[in-house]
Amino acid sequence: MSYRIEYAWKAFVEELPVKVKPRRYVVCTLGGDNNTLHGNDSQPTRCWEVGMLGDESAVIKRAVFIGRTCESGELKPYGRAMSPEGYIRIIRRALAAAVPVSDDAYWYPAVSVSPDSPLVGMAMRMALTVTPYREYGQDRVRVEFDGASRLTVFDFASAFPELQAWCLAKASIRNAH
Amino acid sequence: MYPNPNTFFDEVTRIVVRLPDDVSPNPGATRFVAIAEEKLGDVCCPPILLDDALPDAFMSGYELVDRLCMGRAQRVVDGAIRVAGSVVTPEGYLRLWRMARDEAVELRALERGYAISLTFSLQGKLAMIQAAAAGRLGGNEVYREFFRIFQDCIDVDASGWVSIESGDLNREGAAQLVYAMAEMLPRRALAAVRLKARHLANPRHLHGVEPLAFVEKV
Repeated sequence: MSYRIEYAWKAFVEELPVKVKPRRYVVCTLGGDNNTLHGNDSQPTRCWEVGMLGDESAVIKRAVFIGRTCESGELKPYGRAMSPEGYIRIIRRALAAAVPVSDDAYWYPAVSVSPDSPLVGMAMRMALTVTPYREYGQDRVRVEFDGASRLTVFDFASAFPELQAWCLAKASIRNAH
Repeated sequence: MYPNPNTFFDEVTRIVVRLPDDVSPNPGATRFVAIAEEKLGDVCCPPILLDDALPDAFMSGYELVDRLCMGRAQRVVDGAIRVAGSVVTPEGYLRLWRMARDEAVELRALERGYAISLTFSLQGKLAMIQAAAAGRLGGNEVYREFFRIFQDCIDVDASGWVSIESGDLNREGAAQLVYAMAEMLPRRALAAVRLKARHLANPRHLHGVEPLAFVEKV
């Protein structure tokens, strides 16, 4: 059976300029499918991607949602069967060890949606630049961020909780520890 | 008077009903129905089915946890659902439901022990149901047996619309037939089988609180 393996988790913390609950988290997972192998060494492929995004409550909610796939065996942290409760605990530990971004490990907003998504209107109201492009024959819109506006991606995450975190941000991590 | 929307749902009971082993054609896959009882402020809500659309409402063990993680366990995180008045972690909440699953009650014990009646309803075009039965191996037998067992509560109008308002699942072989019938009907078709749960009386553990009829299933 095909399933996803997650090998490592890393959380970044950001401080928003607000008084109530200013902390936001970006939880990245190193994972890949069990039956997708590298051509040269036949090891399962793996890459870092953003799995959860938002305040602590939003991240734990997303962990509960993703954790459901542990129960049916579609997700195996460390390649082993695990309960959703175990997966939520892993994410809690990652949040407790959250670090700010560094040169070696960082996340960046990368929002790409369909042109008719209400997110496009929200981005334009926030005076962000939207760039249409085509990908695999489909029309898409990319939202451009700069250093000052990158944290507005958390507004998108809370306004559109149905969007997966990997549609909103990407991560580059050279050293997981 | 409607309750304050800022208040929280207080889950007081978790009931998992174990269905007879022959409900599902898959051997060894015990099926369950999950029911939560909760209060909103000082009023008690009607029993809540974790899923009411058949055949999905007859869940296997892992599907029960899956449904919880998709809905109620997430609402526990920010305290929208609490357990006996306390905020719990989703891990603790899932553990409570696993305990309820381990102590699952029989269908017949549900009314006696919890004063909850579990019935099903069926709505649909007779021609559509017949076509679905004819297109499935053994479907005609299921169709005939289903209509034989529930002939006293089936209502067919002049336009060929079939309805069963409150079918009894405690009849001999009823759960198996209802599951088979629901599985036969195509998804999003003009026919559906749904589960319904309601309190037969003000139950003992919620005694003293006013029954609330207008709180919808969450």
